[in-house]
Amino acid sequence: MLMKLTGGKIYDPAHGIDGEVRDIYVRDGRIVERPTDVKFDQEIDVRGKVVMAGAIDMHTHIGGGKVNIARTMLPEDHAADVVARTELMRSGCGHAAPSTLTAGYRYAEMGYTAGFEPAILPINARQAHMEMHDTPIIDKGGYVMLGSDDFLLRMMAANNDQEAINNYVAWTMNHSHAIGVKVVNPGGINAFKFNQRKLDLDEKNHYYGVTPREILLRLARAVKELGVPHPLHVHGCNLGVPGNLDTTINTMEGIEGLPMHMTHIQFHSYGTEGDFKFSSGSAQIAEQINKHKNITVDVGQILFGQTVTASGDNMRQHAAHPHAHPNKWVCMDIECDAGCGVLPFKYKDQSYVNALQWMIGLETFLMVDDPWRVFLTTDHPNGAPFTSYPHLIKLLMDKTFRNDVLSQLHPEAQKASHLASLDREYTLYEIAIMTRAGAAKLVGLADRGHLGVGGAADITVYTDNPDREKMFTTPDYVFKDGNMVVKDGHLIDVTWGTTHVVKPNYDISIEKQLKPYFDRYHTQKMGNFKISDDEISDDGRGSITVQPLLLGAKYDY
Amino acid sequence: MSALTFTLKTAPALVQRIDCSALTSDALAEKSLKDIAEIELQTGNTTVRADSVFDISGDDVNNIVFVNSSDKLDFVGHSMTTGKITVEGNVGAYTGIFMDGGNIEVNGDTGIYTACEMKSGQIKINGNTGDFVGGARPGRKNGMTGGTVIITGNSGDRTGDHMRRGMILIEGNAGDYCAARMVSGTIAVLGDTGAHLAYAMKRGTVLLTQTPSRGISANFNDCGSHTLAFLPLLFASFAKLDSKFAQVESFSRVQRYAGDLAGIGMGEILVKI
Ligand SMILES: [Zn+2]
Repeated sequence: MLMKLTGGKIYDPAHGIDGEVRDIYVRDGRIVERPTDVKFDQEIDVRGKVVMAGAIDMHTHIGGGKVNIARTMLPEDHAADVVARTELMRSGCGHAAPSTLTAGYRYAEMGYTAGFEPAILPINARQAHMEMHDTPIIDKGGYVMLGSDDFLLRMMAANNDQEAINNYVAWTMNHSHAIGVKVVNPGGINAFKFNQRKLDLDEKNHYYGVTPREILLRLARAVKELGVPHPLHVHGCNLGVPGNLDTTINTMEGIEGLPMHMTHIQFHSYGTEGDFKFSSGSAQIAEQINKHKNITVDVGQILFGQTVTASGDNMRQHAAHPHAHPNKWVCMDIECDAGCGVLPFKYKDQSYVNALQWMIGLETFLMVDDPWRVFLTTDHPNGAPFTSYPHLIKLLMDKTFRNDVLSQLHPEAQKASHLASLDREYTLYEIAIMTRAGAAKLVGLADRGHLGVGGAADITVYTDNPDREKMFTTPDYVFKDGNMVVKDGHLIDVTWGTTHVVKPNYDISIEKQLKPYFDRYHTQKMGNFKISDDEISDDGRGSITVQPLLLGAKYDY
Repeated sequence: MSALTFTLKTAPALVQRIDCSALTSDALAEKSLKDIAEIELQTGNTTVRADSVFDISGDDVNNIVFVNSSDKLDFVGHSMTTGKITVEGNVGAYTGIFMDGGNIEVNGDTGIYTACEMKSGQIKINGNTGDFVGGARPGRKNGMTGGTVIITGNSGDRTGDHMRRGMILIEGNAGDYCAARMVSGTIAVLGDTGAHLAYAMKRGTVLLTQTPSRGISANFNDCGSHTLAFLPLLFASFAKLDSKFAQVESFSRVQRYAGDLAGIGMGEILVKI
């Protein structure tokens, strides 16, 4: 099968291509050199259209226990958004927490071809993968959550060397099929179980005596030394607490230059100035991001309306529960691994705090200079459902539109923000960096997010419409591994994506410690904990793609 | 005018449940008999014409009768605000869901979720009811918020789950977890109540004319005996009802228990002494 996309304007930042008119050739799902003297099976005229790689959501909660809790707790979310079955698509429902199939369809229809679940608990990894396995079209993968697990904290309390910790991290990544490591409120979820209700960067866990700073350093070093391309993915301390910007800056400085990704930074950029004792810290945060080249962030933009917040951070979710809307919430302990908190939330444009959160997110986007180090997320569904991305792109690309929306918001919040004075408008090239090339590089996907020869033919074609929301809502074509899955904004074919993982090396002797630990404390035996490749690929629908480790890593055997 | 009558055909026997929410006075107003015959009713994963399952006669849409009814007929009286529906025989789940006025009378038993999230009006069941009478749909926070439900037989478990306002009068016995998670409103029972009476009750009143055989939970505090002046007024308000409650001899002396103390503890169980 050989296909030609003729005459599109190509935006491929991985190769520095900014709107040049070029042809793209696809053979058997891969982008290839221009073939000589060959007849094309299919030629598609995309002259005048904008062509990018398929978009990649590097942080979206689409699988795992907390999403299911959100679904179970919010029948109203389902009743209000029902999708009927069609010849092609299965039925589904849900606005903030859509069903698996519906999530896959909606992502594809928006031109997204991959999404990464950022909070896979090791003990729940099988369920998370099965759920993503049931999410069609897009590629997927996940970051395994460590940092509040008793095994790591015991190792740290016993002062085990870095080598031992690296072994444990690599073992966990391999057997839970992860592509990265996430830490949520480092050590805080564990401290919550010992009745601590807050935990600052240098505050000790009452039982283990270790601090969040030490946990971050150990894990960031492990990820680096193992050669995992995705830097340690950090949901920091004190999420949502006014004044947390100091903690956030301390976290960046305290990581000693190791690569670190700080997620939903918007929720960690708050000051305490003004009458409301709640102010924007985005200028200071952006300055630090610009200064520290080892740091990447995604924003976690909030958008107004009803959604649900689902987080491993039970400490902060417990503190936030009085704000649940509708008034119900779940906070739970998950074995020796972590915990989670799920609470529905409605962001209101006439609330000072919510309006300022909206502004802080946008300020961050506009003040971080390097689009390779800032990523477009709403922390789906925590800030807003992923279906609002086209609206968010329009806010970034269209200053007039942004300021129109801004002028409708809580007046005191408008006074507290200098968003109106920021003139920056994102270009298509920069959007392509944030949502494609940069995201692929960050996650560690060698063959995605670009349109170069050898890359997977995940391609999205848009009509260049000055209304960027319209443009990014309904792509003309979406190709997944060379198959046309969307035409004129509608799904025309349902395919199944792969699961991206990395397999860092480890010394099997770690199992001598792990086996008795599982026997004593966990609900599964160590042998059952390990997910085999077959569980994902056996039915012929799923597959595993092992992405390369970074060269020059400590364990580059 | 004669009552608009839906007589369930005996053959073929129903395999799937039928959603009857389209057959209310509100929904049928202005419709001719022919229009009504053509209404597509949801059943399983498909729809069927109304006249393929019912023999339809009569013309008064404000007086609807289901004859030869079956416990597979769901959502009878869905969202109705006016008119009267009479059911001859048993009926299925969600009878009177979202009802906001009018009258339903069932001469038979009802399934689960009778009067679910009902707002106003009256439902009388001359028979027994399933679980969750006057309750909230799964995952919702508020059950019925108004209206009156009279049950001449027994009610199932979790009667008044999350009930917010209104009145449920049970002439027979109530099942387990009666008044569980009740937010407010009144439940009165002439018979016995099951286990875990008023579990997690927040506010509201449960009135019993006999001491519950399963006792009162330790989560309820015995507040002693009281003479409550509102009780004779409450009984006076029952006088107009077609119910045994209209004949109950008024009393004002009760033993009062407050709870559920595991929560805010502002509910009360009143037991006649
Ligand atoms: Zn997240």
